[in-house]
Amino acid sequence: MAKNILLTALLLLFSASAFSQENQKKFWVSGTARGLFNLDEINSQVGDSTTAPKSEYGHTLVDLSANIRPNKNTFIRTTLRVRNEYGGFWGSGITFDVRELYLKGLIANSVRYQIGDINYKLTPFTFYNNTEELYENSLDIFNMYADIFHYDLFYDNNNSWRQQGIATDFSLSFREGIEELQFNMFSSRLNFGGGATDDRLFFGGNVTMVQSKHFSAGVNYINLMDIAGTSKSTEQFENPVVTGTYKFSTELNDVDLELTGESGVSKSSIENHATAPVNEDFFNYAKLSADYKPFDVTLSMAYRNVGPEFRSVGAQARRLKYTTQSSFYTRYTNNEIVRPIGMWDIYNDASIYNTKISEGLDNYYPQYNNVDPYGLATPNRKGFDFSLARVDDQGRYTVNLDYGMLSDVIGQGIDDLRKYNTISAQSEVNVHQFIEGFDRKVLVQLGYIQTQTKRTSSLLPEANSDLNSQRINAGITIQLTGDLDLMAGYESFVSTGNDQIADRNQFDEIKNLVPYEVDLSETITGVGLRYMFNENNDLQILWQEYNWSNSKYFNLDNSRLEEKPDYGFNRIAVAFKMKF
Amino acid sequence: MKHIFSILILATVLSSCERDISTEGPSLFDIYGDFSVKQALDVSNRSVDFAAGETTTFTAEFSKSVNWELTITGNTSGAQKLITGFSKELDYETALWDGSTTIFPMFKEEACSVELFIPSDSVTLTETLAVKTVKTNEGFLISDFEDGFNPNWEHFFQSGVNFSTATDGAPQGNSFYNMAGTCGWDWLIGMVNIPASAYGSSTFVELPENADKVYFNVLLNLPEGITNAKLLIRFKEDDNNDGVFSDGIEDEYTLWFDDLDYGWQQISVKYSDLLAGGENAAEPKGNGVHNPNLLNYIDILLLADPSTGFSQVDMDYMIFTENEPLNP
Repeated sequence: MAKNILLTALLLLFSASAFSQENQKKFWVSGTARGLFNLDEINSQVGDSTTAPKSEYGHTLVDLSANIRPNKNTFIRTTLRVRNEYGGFWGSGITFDVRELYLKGLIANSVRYQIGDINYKLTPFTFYNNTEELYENSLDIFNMYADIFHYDLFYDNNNSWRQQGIATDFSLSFREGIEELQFNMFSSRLNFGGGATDDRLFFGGNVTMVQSKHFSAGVNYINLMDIAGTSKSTEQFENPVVTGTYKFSTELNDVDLELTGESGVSKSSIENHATAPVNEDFFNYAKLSADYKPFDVTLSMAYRNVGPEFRSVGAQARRLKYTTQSSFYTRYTNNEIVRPIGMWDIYNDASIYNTKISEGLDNYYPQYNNVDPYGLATPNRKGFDFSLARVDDQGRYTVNLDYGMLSDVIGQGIDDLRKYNTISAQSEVNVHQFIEGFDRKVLVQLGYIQTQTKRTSSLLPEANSDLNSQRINAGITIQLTGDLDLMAGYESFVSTGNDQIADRNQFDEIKNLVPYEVDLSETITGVGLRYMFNENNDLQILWQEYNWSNSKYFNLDNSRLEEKPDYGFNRIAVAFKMKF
Repeated sequence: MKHIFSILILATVLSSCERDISTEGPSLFDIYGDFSVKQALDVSNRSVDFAAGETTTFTAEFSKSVNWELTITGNTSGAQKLITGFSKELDYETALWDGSTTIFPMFKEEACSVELFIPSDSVTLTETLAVKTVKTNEGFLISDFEDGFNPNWEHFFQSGVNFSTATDGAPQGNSFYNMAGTCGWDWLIGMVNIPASAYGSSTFVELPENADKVYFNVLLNLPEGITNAKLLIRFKEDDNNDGVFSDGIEDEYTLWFDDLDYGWQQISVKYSDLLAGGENAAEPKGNGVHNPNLLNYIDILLLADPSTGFSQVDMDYMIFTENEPLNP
């Protein structure tokens, strides 16, 4: 049956495609294809005769997108995903899903609209899909899996969140005073109503005034709101956020100057709830950048002050869920204890990622990011971020140096404030461009990030915090022949120390401060070959080895230290990816 | 340049806004200080109509996170519900009671005592409440023995043996089924056969087809001092839908008990986890598929080594539940 459905769908798609060729591209098919095979082996440092040490799995999938342009102002796209698990034959293990469906167009040559699936974002304080921990600056050899699930989970679109609803934008041009007024609006539904749960709408937009190429300013508004009367519930959650943005740019001699900023207020409340608090707060953010063109150097300084009760669901929703249990090798050792999450899972396990926006500040992994786990909109942070970047104009290298010095706005549990320091140095060097006559491409990636959370209390020594995390990575990609690359990489992550982590109730109030401890060490090593058929099509064969050790594993779900034996993984993987 | 100044002035004005709170969250001086009760134990619903789906929540707040043990005891039945946790407060997430039982018998309509104990500081807080109506359990009830032995069931007892209902110490309701006796010549002491026809059809058609969603639950009691009891429960399926179970060609799954703990205990088994073969697991002889909706007979056999004399196992509240084990 499944086979017949597949054949019929393919036949329809391709016959329609053939027909469309006679009608000036009214219809065409595009998509992606992927084949992935993994052979994993878990290595536990204690005796484990219970867990099957090896596991082989994988899948093949095709995303077939039917692109339809019924007239010059309308475009329709639907994508059918056909997926076959490794080992599935004759229909077993095959799934069919409609991956996306939308239509978009232009009304009266002036108003654009999109209905159905939309990818949307506004600003980092209103509606923004912050990148997950460890993704930025990851090495080529380790980010293949992350790239795959970024595509699968619709993360690969400039920090936008995938929504289902409607979006529209238009602009008005003026002859004098200002150049343009730009309007953007969207609305999506996050919850279906009925039963005990209201319909939940998420909507908003912005108006931006472009005065000239030197100055623009705008107003943003978003709101997540339960619609009263759509269920039996009498309590309605609401979280409106209003912000103002500005951007000023000018040129002083050889320096391009740009000042951008955003300030705003938020309110979060539950109507008709006897005990739910009303959280109201504000934030200010400003960034000054100077691009000194003769040296291709950009220096920037940013200041932020985000209140402890600032709530913006669209900007504070996290990609990475806090979980103590992965979906893969969930248990290990003869006692079948739950295997703790590590860098390996963050790189490989799509099931620990969010695709939906929901209210509340989710738990996070302090070891991986205790500084700004909710992005720029992280509540209760103030301070400065400095950045220095150089991109060589001949493409030989890029260097980025960042330094952040933040602190709490108000103390948690005590008047003393935590201080958060971040130092980051990242570089990519095209070594071959430094060696005359060397005709093989060699790319070297080096990265170092250190973060520190520190609080010293003279009144209560138990309130002292000192949590340090350090990530070092180094990778190399060497062109062996025309399209064949050798990739290798090593990454180390170490996190040690302690802090008091906020344990929040359903109203986001801090009900407890949990004494968190960690002594984590992780390494991952990889070697692989990549054959590039073209820029849209490659084949990779990878070997990776991972080791995890944490003598102080703290489970935030039950606020306890647990003993977790060291473990590791070996993997051999073959991955074929193609866009067409 | 004037724009820069305007914006910097605006930014300065905005950043000079003050907040009227100095700290957030509970005081660390409390958390790391001595233990104290900041909010006494309280009960949200003191007369709980569990049959109507009501629940009750226990609340309390301490100065810091501690291990705590909450015990609800039925003053008449002696039933107990235990809830434990490690937290700074008790609330609906950590201390909600739906009328279920941890230590049998089940609760009756009765007054209850509530005790909250903090072991680290030897602090005990007490409260009271009343069970207005007892919790009802969704599922297909085979028998709770409140109306005695189902006359549509069949049985075989060895000479001198007679299983019967009893009332003293029933874990649920007022009656349970007492299976006891002595047989000096055979392992089988007695057997109860429960045909699906006793419930109106040749199979238990009320049960879902999906064996992963069906749980068989029964309360069993091994009296103190009994060391020889073995209990076999057989689930016979009518795979070919001819109205009868045919031995050797249709599936028979089993539960085998020879190491029950003393006292009343709950047995809950997912139907798809049942194995064929009794004491020695074997391949099923029918279609090899667990089909709860094709269940034709349930047999319950009390066995003992004939040289060991008297044996006994008590049984109560046999019920199939869907999606999850019985939460009594």
